[in-house]
Amino acid sequence: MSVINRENPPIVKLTNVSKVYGFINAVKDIDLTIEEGETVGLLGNNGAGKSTLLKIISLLITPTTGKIELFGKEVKEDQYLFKREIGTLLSHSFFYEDLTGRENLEFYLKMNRRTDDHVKVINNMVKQYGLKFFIDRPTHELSTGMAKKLELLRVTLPYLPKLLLLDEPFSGLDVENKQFIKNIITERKSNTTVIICSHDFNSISHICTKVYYLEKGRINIILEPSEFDYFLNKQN
Amino acid sequence: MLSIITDIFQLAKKDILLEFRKRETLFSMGLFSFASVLIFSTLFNFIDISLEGKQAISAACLWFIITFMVMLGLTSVFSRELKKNSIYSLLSLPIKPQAIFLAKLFYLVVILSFIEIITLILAVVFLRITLQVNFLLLCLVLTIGTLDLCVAGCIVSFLTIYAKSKTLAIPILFFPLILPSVLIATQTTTNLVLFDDPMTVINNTLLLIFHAAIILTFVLLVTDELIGE
Repeated sequence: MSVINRENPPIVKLTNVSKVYGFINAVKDIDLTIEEGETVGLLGNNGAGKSTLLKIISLLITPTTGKIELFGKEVKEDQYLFKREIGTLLSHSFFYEDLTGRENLEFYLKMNRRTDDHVKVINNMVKQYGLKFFIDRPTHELSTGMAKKLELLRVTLPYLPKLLLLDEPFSGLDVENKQFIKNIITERKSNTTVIICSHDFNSISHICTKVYYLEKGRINIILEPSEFDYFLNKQN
Repeated sequence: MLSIITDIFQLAKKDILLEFRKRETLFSMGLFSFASVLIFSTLFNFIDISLEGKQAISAACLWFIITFMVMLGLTSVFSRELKKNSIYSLLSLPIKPQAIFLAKLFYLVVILSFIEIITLILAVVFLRITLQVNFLLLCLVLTIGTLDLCVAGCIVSFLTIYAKSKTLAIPILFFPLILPSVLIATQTTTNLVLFDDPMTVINNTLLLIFHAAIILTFVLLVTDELIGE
């Protein structure tokens, strides 16, 4: 049963959004609507504009033209109010490498003002994530897999964001860690709208309810689950 | 209002913790301060001027050192965020951009004050800045002058977040902005050391406050645009 409530406004609505860097059109005339409860994949090769689009949705960069609506409201001023409902995981770490994992998580928890009992919340979650022995080490000492898990913990631990944005969450991970992160996303997606950026269709096809294929900054193909197998075979 | 103060405190606390853990900026500022005081002190031993003359020059030396310490401090304001291209870590936080500016300002003031106390002790010992003057007024001038320089410094840091040639951009923007403050602060400190004239000191301090207030008001109005892109 779909959790999408059609009476509710879309979680994300982009109208004619473009982003220009100098002479490069990173994203061109994007119209995109994502409903509540959907798990959407943004697929494309390197330089297709996936990450730029994700940064626009997460309000980290401002589009050159176009309109952004999040949670049914147009984003103009007071963007920080929208950011309270968004969890963003980019390909590079948000953590301060000279702080330990715990200090970093506490910092993000406090900045999000979601709970006062930081120690208890962190201790409970790190066990589930298998980070018990790594949480008190400076983050620059962590392996790629551990750092990625910690990043995922950052965006899911403090609160349950209405919108979870993940940029290449599986890159550089072994099979076990990939599966772990897939499980966490599957667990969360019943309560959260998830957008995943990836260049690897295999890794997102089992999680997503819809996939947008980007090429040269434009959405070229919209894939429904029934078309996934066909697209996968065609790609292979 | 309370939430923005909490945000500023939490952000600044994180930066101060990181600085005291690595001590890179503190060390370079401290070393610069010590070396400068030592050089000026040596110079005083070779020139034949009166004690009053030495004290007047010492006041100027003090502000020369403070100005360049602010310059050193500026490089660290966003260094941690820019190290791994993670300025987005700050931008993703659900806080007002003004809170980011004020937190960075608070951080800069704290680390600078820490080194300034050491510099003042060194200046008293080596440069013979006498403490017979009104010590409270001297502290007031130093505090307001430093705050003024830090405000100017933070706006320059914000303006150059995305600049490719920071080493070129920072001095070009910073020096014209701080020149009035440094001149007033030097004149005030000299006045205080030589003549102990409280009225001139208070008037000049008000000028410094006015200068800082103008820059601060301007930057708080345009912070959204500055940090956006």
